[in-house]
Amino acid sequence: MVLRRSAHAWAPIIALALVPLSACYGSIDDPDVTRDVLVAPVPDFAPGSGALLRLTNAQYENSIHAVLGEEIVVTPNSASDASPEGLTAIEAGIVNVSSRDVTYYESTAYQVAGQAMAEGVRDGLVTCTPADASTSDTACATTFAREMGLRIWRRPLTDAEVERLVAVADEGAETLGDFYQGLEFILGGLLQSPHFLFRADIGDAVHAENADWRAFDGYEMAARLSFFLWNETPDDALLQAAAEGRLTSDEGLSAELDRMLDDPRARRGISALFNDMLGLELLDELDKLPEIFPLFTPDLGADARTETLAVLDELVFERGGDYRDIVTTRRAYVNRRLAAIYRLTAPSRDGFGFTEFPEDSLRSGVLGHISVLAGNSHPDRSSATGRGAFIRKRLLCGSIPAPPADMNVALPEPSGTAVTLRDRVQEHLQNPVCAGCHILMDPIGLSLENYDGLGQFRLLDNGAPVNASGKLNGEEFENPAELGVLLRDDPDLSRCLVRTMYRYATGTEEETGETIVLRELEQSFAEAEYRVLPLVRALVMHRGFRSTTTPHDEAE
Amino acid sequence: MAHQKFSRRRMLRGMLAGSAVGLGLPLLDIFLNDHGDAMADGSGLPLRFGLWFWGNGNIPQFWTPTGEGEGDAWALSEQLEPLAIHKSRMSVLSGYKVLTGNDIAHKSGASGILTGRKLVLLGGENGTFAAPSIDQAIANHFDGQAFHRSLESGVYIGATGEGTWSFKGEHDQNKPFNQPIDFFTHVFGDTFRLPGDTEVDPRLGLRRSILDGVLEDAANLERELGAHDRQRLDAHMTNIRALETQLARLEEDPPMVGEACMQPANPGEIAVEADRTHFDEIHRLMAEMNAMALACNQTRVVSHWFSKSVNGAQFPGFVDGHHRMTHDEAGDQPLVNEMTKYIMGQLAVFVSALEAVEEGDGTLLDNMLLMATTDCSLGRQHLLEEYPVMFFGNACGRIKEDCHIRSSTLENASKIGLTVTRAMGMTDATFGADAGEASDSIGAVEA
Repeated sequence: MVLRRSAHAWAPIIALALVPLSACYGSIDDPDVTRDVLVAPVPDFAPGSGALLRLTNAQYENSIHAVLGEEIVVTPNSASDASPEGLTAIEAGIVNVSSRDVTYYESTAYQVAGQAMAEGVRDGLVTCTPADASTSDTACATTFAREMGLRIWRRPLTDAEVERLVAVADEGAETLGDFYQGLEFILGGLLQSPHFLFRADIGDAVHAENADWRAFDGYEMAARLSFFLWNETPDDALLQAAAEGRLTSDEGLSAELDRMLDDPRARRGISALFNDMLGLELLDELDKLPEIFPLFTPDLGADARTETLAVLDELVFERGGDYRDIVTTRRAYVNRRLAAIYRLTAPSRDGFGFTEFPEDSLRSGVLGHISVLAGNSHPDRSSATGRGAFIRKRLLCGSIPAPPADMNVALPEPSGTAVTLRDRVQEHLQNPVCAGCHILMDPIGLSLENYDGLGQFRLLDNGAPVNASGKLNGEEFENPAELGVLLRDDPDLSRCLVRTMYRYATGTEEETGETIVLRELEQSFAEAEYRVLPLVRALVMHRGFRSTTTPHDEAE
Repeated sequence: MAHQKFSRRRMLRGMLAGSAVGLGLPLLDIFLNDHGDAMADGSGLPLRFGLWFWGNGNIPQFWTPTGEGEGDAWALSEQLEPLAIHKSRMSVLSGYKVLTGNDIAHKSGASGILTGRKLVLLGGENGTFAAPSIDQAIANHFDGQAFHRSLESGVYIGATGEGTWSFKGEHDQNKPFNQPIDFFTHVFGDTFRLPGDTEVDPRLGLRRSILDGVLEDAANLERELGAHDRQRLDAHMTNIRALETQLARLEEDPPMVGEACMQPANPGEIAVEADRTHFDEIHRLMAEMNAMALACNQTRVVSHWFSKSVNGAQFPGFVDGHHRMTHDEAGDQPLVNEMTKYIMGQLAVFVSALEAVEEGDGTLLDNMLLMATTDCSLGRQHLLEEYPVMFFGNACGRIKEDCHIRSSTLENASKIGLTVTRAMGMTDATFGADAGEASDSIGAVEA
């Protein structure tokens, strides 16, 4: 059995069976990473078995606003669901709901219900009038339960479900002497139900191709579409399309897809994808030592996230550009705080504006953004390994095992012979125990050493000139701008977006039978010159997104 | 909101409208029996458990106490000196080793000491616990005996729960509150009632009916799911039922509470200070609220995650971040040493808050065991031997105080977990599993 090093995460990992999982392997004589992919025949298509996905905090808030109105104040869940490892979209199918969350959902349901049923607000939501507003009115409550239920549970309610909710509303109205307070309990029941909080990949329709598979029915497709593209619950038009059976036909699905991509909400949806892919939510907790970085402020992380998402939004929606520009574009979106760190002229006095890094700048796409540079550094200095790991894992979908826990990883203090960070981390690439993994990270990260722990440009590190050169995929680069060009040409860059988008949209890691889906989408992506919206289109129209199968543990 | 300093005095001055009680007067002496050591209804003073956790370990050579045994036979080390006022209340266990492997730095140690089991590996540096953490195992044991099954708070932890370790099981984490106002609202908000408060909210019964419906929805949904997802929904339903029970309790007369119970004042938003001393204030507020939650029998189990594993926290007065210094500082690591002493000083604050709660003839610490530990010993190497663990309090006379118990043979640290569960009255024969399984507790620290 020949051991082959591979940076592809999805190459058949036969070799790893021979090596302890915690160890890395690799020759230190040849620091190039040969990217021979062990090519195995791609299995025939089989749908994935799906997941039970809880709404993310953002989806929860967005959905309440969509149904009850933008002016409703939703107290955010103080327990963040940002995930330091992997996608929040996938964690949504894995992590249990905690009792803290259950308490939050209950109190929030009644907080928003109270606001929604307040005088003035409720007229937009209650389409009937009670005979006597100081007591129950079963007929009107029933109408309300059906209409709200369809929107909140993303499907029509059964008669039994409606009756159950209305019974509590009637009792509430009578006990509290107010019809509309009674309706609050209908909202309370709808918003706390697992039918709202979770999306289940059941596949309620028969699959045309294979009796062992299932197709998602119209309502399931509506939910899949709206949470992927808009990061919120389906709107009335989408629910209507579901009711009329249009979402299970190619023409109908395509038409709704067009409508949704044209809608401003799609920009928020695609932003949510990049936010998750690049782990930008974690920037809320960005912390730098003010003694070392006086330009750091507590809002900087959030500002940096705003910038990166805006640059990507412009690339996707305004320019319809090549996704791979993500590592080469000179576009920036800055306020005065960010501009000061970048040493750019702020495009506006207050708030944000677009501008560009100058021609001779070495900042290359997100590699030069504060979100990446500061977000993957220590509180007091840069981290070549941290930045390299980010790029390898989040942009290239590489996988890097955990470092050995008992190893002394002390970084030598700067001294006569080891002045710069590059000097001080040499051990990573010279020690065979370290090199196998660090070769995937350090050469990339060390090219960014012209940017300190906050992302500010510097020529010197501890008084010595920064050497930003290195090698990627056998090609040499002199500086981060040249690295950006090499990354742009790395097939992993575009393939990683395909894989990440598919995982994000389905909320699961792809199964063996879905490998072919990724291959086909990669093909579509390339043919579309790596524009993102055509990829989104291809994904939604693909049977991979529209089919599922019984969970494996149920098949026995 | 303008930043205000909240002293303990000010905190305790807040109370329910209508209850005219001065500071220092026992509020509810009448609920204690003549001996002051039991509730008037005949039940004993409740036994409690607390877990206090800090991230990134210690430095064993400056940590391990000198001498072994009880009282004068042992003396505090340099790193434990900040706990001097509590020496008579504390026992130190040293020399034990976590035997469940070190797959992922910090996480494996935490898993080993808190569950006695190997960390479940999820790829990369991702992991979860195989079994409930010790606070949750004990919460299971006490389930139903107080309004909240358990409470989790923290300071240098962020909002994602990362690096804290209260787990009910795999992928089932309790994320601690890191803002005092959120903790206050959760514990002392709408759901907090004192004896005498007999007004019942008419909406409670309606809310419970709605929750019945939610459970029905979950049962209907479950039928269509695979086994793994059914389990997740089951866990959700368990939490819903617990919430229903809480609402039902709110419809009954408030239960007995300890004599020191009072409703604290709302701490409000804590303003960020440039010198980072607001973290000390957050910690002090959390300590007092934890103590009061226990005094008021709102829970039997608390865990306080002072600093998360791998935290790069810049403690007040320090320029460098904690985690990086544990790895990068050379030699004897004098800065890390000072940081560890700072952490121990904060632990002392927490213990003081517990000690200040008078119960029966003594204090809350007499009816409680507080276990303090971390995710490794020497942070530089994430060492699993010389694992640092301290006990405070005597758990209703079951645990010895003022001891240094040392294992010279690298005994299984799970013995500590078993000692704790036994002190809580649990009848489990073992703690942990496989290499981490212990079937003996530490007799030397058992009274």
